[in-house]
Amino acid sequence: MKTSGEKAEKRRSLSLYFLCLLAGAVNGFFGMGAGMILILGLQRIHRGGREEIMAISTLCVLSFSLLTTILYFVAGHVKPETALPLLIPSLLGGAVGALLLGRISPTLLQTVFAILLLISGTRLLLL
Amino acid sequence: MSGFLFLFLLSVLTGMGVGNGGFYLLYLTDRVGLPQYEAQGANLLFFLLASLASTLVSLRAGRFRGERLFPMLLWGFLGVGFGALLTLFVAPQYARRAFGALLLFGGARALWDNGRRKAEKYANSLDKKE
Repeated sequence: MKTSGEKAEKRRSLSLYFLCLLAGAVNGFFGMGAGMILILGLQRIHRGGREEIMAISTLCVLSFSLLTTILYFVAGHVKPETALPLLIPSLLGGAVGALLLGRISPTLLQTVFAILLLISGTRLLLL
Repeated sequence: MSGFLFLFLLSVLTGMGVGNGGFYLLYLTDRVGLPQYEAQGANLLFFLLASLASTLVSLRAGRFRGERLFPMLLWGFLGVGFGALLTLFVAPQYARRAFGALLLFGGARALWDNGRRKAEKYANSLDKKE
């Protein structure tokens, strides 16, 4: 006989797996977006702190993006020559961002992120 | 140089786990003039590099815990396969519109959550004062 605690844990696991399935599908279709889905979902389902949630989200985005890149490459959507100019600023910025994690107010970070999403979303829809 | 700085700043946001809110994709389609799916491919490479550096730093800081991580990744991979398959059947202009709608939803949701947290914090501080 399962206790209510065990049942709740099982429900939490299933919710996490469904969230990842959805985030993976979004990443596979749009080439991005998994981070947004994961952060919004993990804040509700996962029990860890904000730093852990951000780290898990980044690890999942890395893994999903790796597989998506391979599949896009096979489909002819990825041109290797576009990678070279991205190399230095992306690696530098990614490392600086991870080092800054925990030093910037999460509320400020989420507000900046929300504003970026609203601007991009409006532009993509209208133009 | 401005392109370098732009990429660097977007990578800092990606490294903090929040992503770049679709700005890089817009830059590639509207400024560079790449077709939608090709821009998505370049955007993926950018994400790979920025999140690789960030994951290595988080790994060193010991931020990953939990036995659920591996199955979470496996379910995500299944989703990626399905999503990538869809790109072969859906016209790019519909993908662009759908992505715009998703970003708008995400932005509104993030702002709503922020507002709710602030209100809860304020209510808690009032309770403590009483």
